[in-house]
Amino acid sequence: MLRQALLYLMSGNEAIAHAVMDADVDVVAAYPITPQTTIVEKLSEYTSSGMLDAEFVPVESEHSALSVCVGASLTGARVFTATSSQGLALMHEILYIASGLRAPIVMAIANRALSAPINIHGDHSDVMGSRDAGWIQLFAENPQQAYDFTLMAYRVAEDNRVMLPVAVNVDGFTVSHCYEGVRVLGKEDAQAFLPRTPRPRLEYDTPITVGAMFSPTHYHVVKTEQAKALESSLNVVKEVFRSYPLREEGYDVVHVVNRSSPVMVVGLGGVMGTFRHLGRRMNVGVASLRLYRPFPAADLLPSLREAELIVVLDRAYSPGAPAPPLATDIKTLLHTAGLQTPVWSVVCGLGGHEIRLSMAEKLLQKALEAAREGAGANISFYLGEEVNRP
Amino acid sequence: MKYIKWMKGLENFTHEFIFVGRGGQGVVTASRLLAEAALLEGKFVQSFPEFGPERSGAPVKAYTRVSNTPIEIRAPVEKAETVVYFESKLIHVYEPTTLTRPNGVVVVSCREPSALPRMDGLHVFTVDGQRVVESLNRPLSLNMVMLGATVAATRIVSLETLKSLVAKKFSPADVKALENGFEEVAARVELI
Repeated sequence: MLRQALLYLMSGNEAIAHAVMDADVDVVAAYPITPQTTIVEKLSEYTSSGMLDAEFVPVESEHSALSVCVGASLTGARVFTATSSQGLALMHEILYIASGLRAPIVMAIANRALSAPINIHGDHSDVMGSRDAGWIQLFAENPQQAYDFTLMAYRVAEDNRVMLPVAVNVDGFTVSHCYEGVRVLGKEDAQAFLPRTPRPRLEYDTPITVGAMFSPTHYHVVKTEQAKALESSLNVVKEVFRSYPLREEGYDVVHVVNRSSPVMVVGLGGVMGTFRHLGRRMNVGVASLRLYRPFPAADLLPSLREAELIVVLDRAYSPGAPAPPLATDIKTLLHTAGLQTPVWSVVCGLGGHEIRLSMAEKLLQKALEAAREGAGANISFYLGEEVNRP
Repeated sequence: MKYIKWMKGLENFTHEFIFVGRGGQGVVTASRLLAEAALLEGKFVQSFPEFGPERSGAPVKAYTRVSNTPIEIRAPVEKAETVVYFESKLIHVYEPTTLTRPNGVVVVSCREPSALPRMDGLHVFTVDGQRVVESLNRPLSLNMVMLGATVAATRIVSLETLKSLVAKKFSPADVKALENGFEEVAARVELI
């Protein structure tokens, strides 16, 4: 039975560090970078005070941080790292090694803009640059989810049917540095939720080889298997989300309000809370993806079917592409389902550009107007710019 | 001066606060402590600063939301029920009438209340925060004085909850500063 959950005031970053402590990880290797820094600070505090019995490896770069995690993970250890922006970019080659070696690493990403120009604030450019590295990608909207998703990430990653690294994304500052009440499971209940399952591992006595050279005749077999593993991890994520002990009803991988509204807004991360706040008052549908990779197509599609206009929010550009990352996914999904619903592709909140309630409200009003008038054009613009409908 | 009893008779309420001060004055800590006290009293809360690199002495804002329903919004507070100025000069940086909702509360640390500009339609409470911290010889406790004054003006949480929280985290002198700030304003608030 679940003990009384404890309630604390915590920032998104503190919630993640607390979850890592409750998950009783064995190795933490991380390099501090804004806005992830306070996660690493807390974990350093927990390990030095003995609250967390883990090896804390103070590495000299993010490339090394993830390399330490890969090595440690392959010996069977439960590992954690966290980064942001340039740090994630520096990890780039190791991201693919972690997923290719099927290392069940959990990493928190406090999402931040990429240079140049230099900017320390939040957007999704960093994670979208790593989108195809073969990691499971979760997006937490608030500190509570940051805690919950970090714990669930270990359960998913280490599941024998999955064995893939998981990234828990929190918006830099707006979630990472925002303080809210967070219910925590505590170590004992977290341990019960995260049993240690045996897995193949590197050992002195029974040596094995991992990461060896693969010829063209075999490389594609491994990569195809890996891609399928990521695809089929969807069911495990859903199973784990449903069984999360702190919430009787569990979590859905896609959270939707006002399913029958003519306008459906789709997006990722903290900004969805602001849109849901308005959506409830303005009768606009809001679908928030808590899982981005694998893409929960079947879970999202029912919410898109009835919509007359779909507004897709991206906090990153994909320069030169037909659409920004999430809009590309949504358009592909619509096409596959034989739907021709018009899509407004809206890029917003780049480099911490505040998404004020008044801006979001104006966007929803325009979208409702367009849906009423049956104006069915695909358009794209940056939030805050004038909306010019053809 | 009459105090509006915000909470009474309101089934669903969200009370938004903006704390305005300078980097180093403990503005963010004040915003967070208020949230924590309200959390202890069973409310839903949110506290975050205006984000950016921290610069000592630069004008800074921090926001607190207190609600009896879950808080989904994740945008800065544009117009608050209560705005707290740690320094009267900052009134000229952030106009009270643009930050405060009509009929809202403004709490200002100032020595010369008569020199303040007119703030029509707002309930203004002043406290000489600098004098209080000087008398306690605690220059860094200005945020405690302002927090006490804010609670006196809004009664969003009980002074007792806040006192026990401050006693646990900070020094007895901070508790004193909190109490002094509360008393300065409480004496001039008439509950209606």
